Amino acid sequence: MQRTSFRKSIFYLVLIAIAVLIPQIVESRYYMSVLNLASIYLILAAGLNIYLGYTGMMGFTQVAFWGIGSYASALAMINLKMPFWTALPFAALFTGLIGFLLAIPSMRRLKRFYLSVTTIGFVEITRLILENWESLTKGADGLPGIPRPVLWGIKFNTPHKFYYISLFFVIILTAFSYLLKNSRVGLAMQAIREDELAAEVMGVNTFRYKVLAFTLSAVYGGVAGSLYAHFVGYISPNVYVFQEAVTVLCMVLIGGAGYVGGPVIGALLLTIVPEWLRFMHEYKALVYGVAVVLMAVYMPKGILGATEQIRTRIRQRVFGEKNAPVYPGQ
Amino acid sequence: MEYILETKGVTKRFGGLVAVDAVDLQVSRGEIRGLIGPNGSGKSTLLNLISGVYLPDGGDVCFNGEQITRLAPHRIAELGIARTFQNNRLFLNLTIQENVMVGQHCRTKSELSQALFRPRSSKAEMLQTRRKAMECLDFVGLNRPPEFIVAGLPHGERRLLEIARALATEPEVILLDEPATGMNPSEKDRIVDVIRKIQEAGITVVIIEHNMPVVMGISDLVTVLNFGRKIAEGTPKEIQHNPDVIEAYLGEDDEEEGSSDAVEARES
Repeated sequence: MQRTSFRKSIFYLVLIAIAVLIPQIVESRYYMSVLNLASIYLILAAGLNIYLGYTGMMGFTQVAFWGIGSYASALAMINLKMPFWTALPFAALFTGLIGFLLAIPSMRRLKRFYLSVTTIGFVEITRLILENWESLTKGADGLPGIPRPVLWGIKFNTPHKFYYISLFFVIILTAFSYLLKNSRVGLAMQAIREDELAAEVMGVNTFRYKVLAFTLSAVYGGVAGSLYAHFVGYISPNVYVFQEAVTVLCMVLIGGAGYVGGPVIGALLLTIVPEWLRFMHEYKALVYGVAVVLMAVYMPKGILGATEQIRTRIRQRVFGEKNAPVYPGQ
Repeated sequence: MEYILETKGVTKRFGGLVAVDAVDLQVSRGEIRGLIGPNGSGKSTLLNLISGVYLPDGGDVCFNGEQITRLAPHRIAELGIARTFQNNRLFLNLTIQENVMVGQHCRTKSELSQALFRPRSSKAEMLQTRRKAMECLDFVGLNRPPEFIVAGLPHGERRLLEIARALATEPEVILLDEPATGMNPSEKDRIVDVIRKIQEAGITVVIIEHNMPVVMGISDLVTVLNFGRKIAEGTPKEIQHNPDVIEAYLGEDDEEEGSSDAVEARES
């Protein structure tokens, strides 16, 4: 046990080291922008993973939280003259609060599909509010000229520099996902995913943990939103559309829902691979659709689920059928 | 004398059907209470009412003299009533150990901030939870690697695991819903041993069971339900000779038969 966890930490450290070195190697501003967007999607997907992967609820709200976080952060900086380093936590907390307020009535009353439909409604309502509250959000024209983050006199105004901010939050939030999953709270959430009634009867306050999971995913959405606003410098309501919610959902499902690494793999794949497929532009949607169908049929638990299955099979071959130790993936 | 668990005229209707009809049940501390009756007689519904899964339409449930009728199931578990389900409801994609650790949830305290900063107290609590889970698995005699995913477990061991998970909530009363169903004879013996051990540990047991040798063999008292009503209560011996019970199981019959055999005959 000790040795495997040691090996794992080495593996993660190497991954982080590679991630830190990327801007030194990649010169293209364009590719660095893609990586920044991938990081933002990764945070969105990691938030959805807590709600969908750990707690087992279906929802599309992530994109609405993304929008709320973007506007909250941008407006805090423009109107309240906050620096980025307070605007981002402000956006995260504000989005978390909205998530909390939405979760309380929804989790009390709704289950399964009804909950999903409610979240779709919430996405549309958020977009409409952003579009129509012109005195605050400037409506469909969007908010231009959102200031860039500044720290110790360094202005994070290029994709290369901004990447370090994105990476910082990716690491923090992924580490938090990991710690959460392996804690008492995370175990309770996974029990809810597996069997809500059984979890409740075993003494888990299911309502409370569902609200908590939803709120946390909102906080992740808020952070992603804030990063997006200050990275791109211009936001408008038509960024935060339902289709983006589906993209984030696919990232979680393709990477592996419930695995800490799932959103990481899913987000990187679904932002970088479409860039490679640019030459076959017209067929992009087709390739994408076929890939999702194939995944759903052959790897219902995503890429990480499939690799875990293969690993288990090998172990069973090696250790004999019956008492093969089965290790849950991280 | 005060009963550890008591229902007072508890009633549950599903549409026009009265599933449980004004049932009074008094269970004393430390006993094993058998709950029998033909299919659809309201046994499982009664357990659901006690554990808070259903809200009763009338009557009260009391635990240690305190009313628990309208409490949420997780509050009832916290107070000390644990249960298993008729058809296993395990957390299939979690490991054996994790399943039992969920049972410890209501006895531990670590919250979100502890998950984030991992103070020493929360690490110790996690270790303690793991240790407790292993104890419970030992108690029911389930020796598999703790990392084993439950989905790969055969039926008999799943039953034991459900009991271990319920025990991990450190209950005063445990409600077992047909624990021996679908088990082979040696597995049945194992379940009976486990239930005896539970009683020796000072935990009160209420058991629903269709297998007459099992339930008659271990129960101190047996309560019989039919069409949601309590029709008899007494020692296993009294119940086996009770004409109402025999009628409930076999229907009215002109022939006089060896009555205690008749109940068992239905079983085989």
